[in-house]
Amino acid sequence: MERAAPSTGLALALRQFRRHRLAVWGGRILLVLYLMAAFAGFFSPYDPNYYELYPPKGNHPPTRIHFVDPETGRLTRPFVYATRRTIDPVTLQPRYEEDPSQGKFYIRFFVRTPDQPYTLFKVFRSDLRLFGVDAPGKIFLMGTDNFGRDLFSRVVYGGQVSLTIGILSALVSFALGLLLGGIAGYFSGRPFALSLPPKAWRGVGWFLGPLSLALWLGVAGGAVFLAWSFARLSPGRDALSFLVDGVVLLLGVGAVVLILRRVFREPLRIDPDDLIMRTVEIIAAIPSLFLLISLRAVFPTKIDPLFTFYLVVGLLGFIGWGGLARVVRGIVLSVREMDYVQAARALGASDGRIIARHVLPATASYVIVSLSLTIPGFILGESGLSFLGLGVTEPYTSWGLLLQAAQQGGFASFTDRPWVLWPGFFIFLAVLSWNFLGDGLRDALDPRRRR
Amino acid sequence: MRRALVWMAGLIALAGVASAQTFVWPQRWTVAKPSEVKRGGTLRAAVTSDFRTFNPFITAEATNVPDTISPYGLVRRDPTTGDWIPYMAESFSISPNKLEITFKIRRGMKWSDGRPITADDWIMTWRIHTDKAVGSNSYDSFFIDGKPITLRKIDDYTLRFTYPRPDATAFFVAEFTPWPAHIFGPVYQKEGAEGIKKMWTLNEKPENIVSAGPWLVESYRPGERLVLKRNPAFGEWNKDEAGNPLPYLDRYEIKIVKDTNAQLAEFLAGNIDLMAPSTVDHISQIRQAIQQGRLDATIKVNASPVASSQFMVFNWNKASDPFKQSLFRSEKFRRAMSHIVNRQAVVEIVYGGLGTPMYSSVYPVLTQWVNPKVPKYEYNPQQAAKLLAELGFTRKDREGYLVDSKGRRLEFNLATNAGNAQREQIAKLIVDEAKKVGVKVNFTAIDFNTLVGQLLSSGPDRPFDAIIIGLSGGDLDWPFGSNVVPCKGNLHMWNKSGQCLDPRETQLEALYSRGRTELDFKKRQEIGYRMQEIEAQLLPVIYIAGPNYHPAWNNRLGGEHPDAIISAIWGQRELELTFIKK
Amino acid sequence: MTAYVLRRILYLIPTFFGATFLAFLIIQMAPGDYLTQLELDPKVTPETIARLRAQFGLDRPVYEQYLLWMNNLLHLNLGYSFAYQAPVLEVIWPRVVNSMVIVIPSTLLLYLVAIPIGVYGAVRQYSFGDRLLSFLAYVGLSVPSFFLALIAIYVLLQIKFRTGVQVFPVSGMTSSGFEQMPPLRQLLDIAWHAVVPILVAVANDIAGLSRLMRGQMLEVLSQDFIRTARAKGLSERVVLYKHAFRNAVIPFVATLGGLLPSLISGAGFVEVVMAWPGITPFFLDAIANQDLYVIAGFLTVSLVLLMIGNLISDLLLAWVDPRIRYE
Repeated sequence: MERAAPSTGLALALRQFRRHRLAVWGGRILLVLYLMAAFAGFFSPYDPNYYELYPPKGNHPPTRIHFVDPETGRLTRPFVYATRRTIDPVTLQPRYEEDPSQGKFYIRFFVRTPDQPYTLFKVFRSDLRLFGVDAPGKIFLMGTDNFGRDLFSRVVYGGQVSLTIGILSALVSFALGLLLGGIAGYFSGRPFALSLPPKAWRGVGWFLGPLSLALWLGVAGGAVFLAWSFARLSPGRDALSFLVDGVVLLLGVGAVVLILRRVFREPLRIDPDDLIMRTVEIIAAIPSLFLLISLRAVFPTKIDPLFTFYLVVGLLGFIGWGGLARVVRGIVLSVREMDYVQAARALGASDGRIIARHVLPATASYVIVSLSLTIPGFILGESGLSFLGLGVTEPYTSWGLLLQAAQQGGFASFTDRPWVLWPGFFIFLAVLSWNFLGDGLRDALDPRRRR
Repeated sequence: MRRALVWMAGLIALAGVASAQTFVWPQRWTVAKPSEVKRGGTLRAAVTSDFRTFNPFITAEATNVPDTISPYGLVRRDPTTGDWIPYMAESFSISPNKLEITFKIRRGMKWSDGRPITADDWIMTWRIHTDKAVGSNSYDSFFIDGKPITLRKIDDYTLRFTYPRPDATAFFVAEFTPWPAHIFGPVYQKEGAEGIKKMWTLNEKPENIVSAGPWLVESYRPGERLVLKRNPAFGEWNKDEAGNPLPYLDRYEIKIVKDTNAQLAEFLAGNIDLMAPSTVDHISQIRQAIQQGRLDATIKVNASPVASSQFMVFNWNKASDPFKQSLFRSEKFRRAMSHIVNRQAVVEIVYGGLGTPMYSSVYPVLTQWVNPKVPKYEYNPQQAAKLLAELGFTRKDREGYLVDSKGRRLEFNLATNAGNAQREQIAKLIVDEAKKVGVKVNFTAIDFNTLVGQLLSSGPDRPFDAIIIGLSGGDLDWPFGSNVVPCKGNLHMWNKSGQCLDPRETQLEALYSRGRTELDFKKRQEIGYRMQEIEAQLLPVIYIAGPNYHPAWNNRLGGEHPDAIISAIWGQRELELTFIKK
Repeated sequence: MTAYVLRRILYLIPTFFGATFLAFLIIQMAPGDYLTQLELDPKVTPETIARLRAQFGLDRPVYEQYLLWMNNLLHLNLGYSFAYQAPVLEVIWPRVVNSMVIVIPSTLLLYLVAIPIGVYGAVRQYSFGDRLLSFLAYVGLSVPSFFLALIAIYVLLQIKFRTGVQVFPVSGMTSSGFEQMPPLRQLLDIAWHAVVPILVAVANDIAGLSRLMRGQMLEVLSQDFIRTARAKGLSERVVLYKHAFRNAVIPFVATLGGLLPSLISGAGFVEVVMAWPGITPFFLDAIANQDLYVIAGFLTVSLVLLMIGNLISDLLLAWVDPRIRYE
């Protein structure tokens, strides 16, 4: 089936990938975004939480950068002016005018800001920044928020959360979805034993047998207890209520009899497809918003809220594998009957080998596209959580939170201070890049599409 | 024979109309003269949360249908003076021992279904509200310190309220709205509380909702719109000074718009007539639209502060951490913390310049209750540092935080409810200012219910350090909370050990009961002033700042309040006196 | 096959109990309950709150609350809403119907638009049209729906300001004075209000579905049997639609089951921002209030629909793809 040997496969894939120009650009943009997020302290001119109360700089528009000296009319090193704040009599919002009387503030590169140190990767302390201007001049590339915090710095730092939030969760849910969906599809119709009758206790069975027996007895006991409690608590005293109570009791007792009869005689067999797909349905019933609220309440407030947030979203990935598992199962159910798989089986290939070499690759196209939609999906999901007030909180920030702040401002975010829409642009850039990258990868890894 | 009786009853009712004692709505409550008024038209408003029931006994929302269609009772306040005036009562008299108030009910008032409104209606309403099994939200208002207030019918048009002790807020109790005994009574007698709870759900036919007030339900579309229509029976005894029946309007439409941006859009598009924008962004949009001639409307910026408080509370019950416990119980520490709260910056940054700093438990809008001479511990980092030094925090550690002689760092956790962006920003300002002084504040935003759980937990060891939260519901008669001031109170949030820990808490508790039973306003005000002075010394909680009230309306409406009484308490207008100009 | 269907139906019972119990447990795990907010009211005493808690049965152990609720469910009663003091179904139903006004057209529109875009993108891979369409789809994808709705409102408002004409309403589902309109006008009025929310609801999902469709189509088009079909001299149309398309949609059939519960699950944030009286704002309120049985009841209905939907889509899967066998 495979045409290329694995050693040249990678090279071929790389060459194919390079042909996909948009994918290459997507990759480059992502590289830049991730580098900026990783070295956020270096790329941002200010600490993302730095603001001054006197004079206030809230809702400051992007600082205009001058390249022409107004006095001489000639090109010069880029510089900015300090600004003066007034309150607009109509909108009651602050207005800022350039104040040349304080002189020019030239943009300098590789400046040090001893009053605002930062740490890289939580380890290296530094205060070197890519660019900046001397105080009291200020350079706000994308304006400021209502505190007067530099929006560009906040976008750069916000990327740290937004660009990483989905990865862990997506990986967890994809690993589980692929594995369980694959098993469900491939082993559908081949039930396995979930208990050992006493006569089959030998070897490891001496350990597993009693264990499974105890487990099932527990299940039976639980069923009886619940059925009995149900009848005991039942408030109704009419015929219908007694009927319902009766049915429930019967169900409970029936389940117990069934379990007891089978557990001692023969193994209880369950189709893995049923087991996994019913589990998917049970998990689908979990209200994820509630789970989020509950889980966050479980962690002590001492723990860093950002860490809690990551953990909780990661846990969401843990329950979010159901949809993918269903799709993968569908594909696998179809693929396992294909001639080449049947041929491999006839040739005596093991199940593991067939799954790894023939079945899972068939899902690759769907999975890669789906993954390249899921990771940016988390960036958007995070903004939705912020909209509900369940996202990251001060002093941390994320693109979603920044965009939600723009949403809160309402139409003023369009008319009075359009610069607060920048985070939206970054979300767009990241989503687009991930998807183009996904396209390119899909094409590159698909052996049949190589031209 | 039977028919003749009915006919006679009809005659008597008619006679009642003829002699209906009218309540004349004073001219000074509105800017419009009766001659300018036009009748008819629809007022369109919006609310942020959906209605949940038509049933007055189980309603629990802030804006609910029963209070909207029939907001009034025996007495009401005159917005120009704040005094209680007889309304559905024609007059009242107070017994010499101040324990009984006897109301003469206005004659000729009728329910919207034509039945007369009599003392029985109040008695039945009170019975149902005070039936524990009904679970009415008004239950507690009929008790003072657990002792019941009782109502007695003297005759059909005379009612007597008996109080267990003199009460400054007596009229507040008597203000409750009556509901028709001929509707609720039979059900209550036959099926009890369970029967009452099943009545008047949102699926009830609108024509079955009987009202004594200005409005009747015309239609309700779930989650979407409530349409009310004028109650003609109300107009028979409510007139303006020219003798026109009220309300002027035919209809009152309330649209349910959860998102405030959508509400703003509807107001800007001229689709709703009333709005109270809460942020400077929304105000700016309205003012720009007015200035550019796109919208003909009026907005009163900074009409008044809002009627609620916002504060930071420290937990006095931390047995597990004696260091923090003694810190939080120390008045010097709390005063230092008040000095690091930059209220001006909060107003400037969080409320866009349109807010009001707060210094006492009395809401700034209750101007007659605010003691102007109470010391204010304003933003002053140097003073804060000095006070902390007096507590032994003189050295700073490597990270720049203050430590005492034993090397214990000055540090505490601060929480507020997640999703409240304004409180989160206030917390941020406090964290940053504290850091400048050398106090480490660890801020977390937590789920509202968790926060309330922590705040209201009781015992010697409670799970929080400091919380930013707010309260509303203070009253004009006596602005101190019955749950807040007494040491056993459920909302005595700083100390829930169940007993007073500071002598001044005991003092406040005593003054609270004295004030509540003092019927003379001047003397009560004195007591209130004294309480604020003690509060300022004790600083049980540190008040921060709150937003302002900025009412706006479309200029197709007339009949708003004069400027002097437009406030968060009285609102922008009486709907009864509101009319459509064009 | 019959045995398979029977077995699936039998499995519905434990799945139903397991899922409802898990959901119930998680709702109860969340801090506080319906009465927590009342506790901050200075006028309400703790005794009153304790009494109400007992009345609502919130002071019982979780498993007892669950069984009592289950008892109601088996009487086909979803329970009682605390906030509305009315049966859950009675409260939920009108909102679900309102939501369907958006959800059904937008789902149809989604499939009608996204699948052709996906197929086109695969057939004319890397053409200008493919690039333009995917770019537009990504724009839709990358603006969160709550923000897109705000932009829509803003644009509508500006149009009204500039021209004085209300092209589409800013928010809501009906105009003022709706009750007085004749039935046909009412229908038109709702349709007029629904246009923008439907478009906003669709915009987000087009990219996802069309990208997946495009990927699947490309995958199938590159397979040997397509080459064989082409070699046989079949027309391109037959190859594309009879052979390729039919194989490419197989994975989507597996997700069709999810559409059934999504019928009642509402159109999402657009309902909140554009004041559409659907189930989303209602459900968010219920979550904020912890209106236990509203949430649990709603989840149960979704769950039942999901289980039925999954069963149907599994059967459909076997039908579209004869290779799939269930033993």
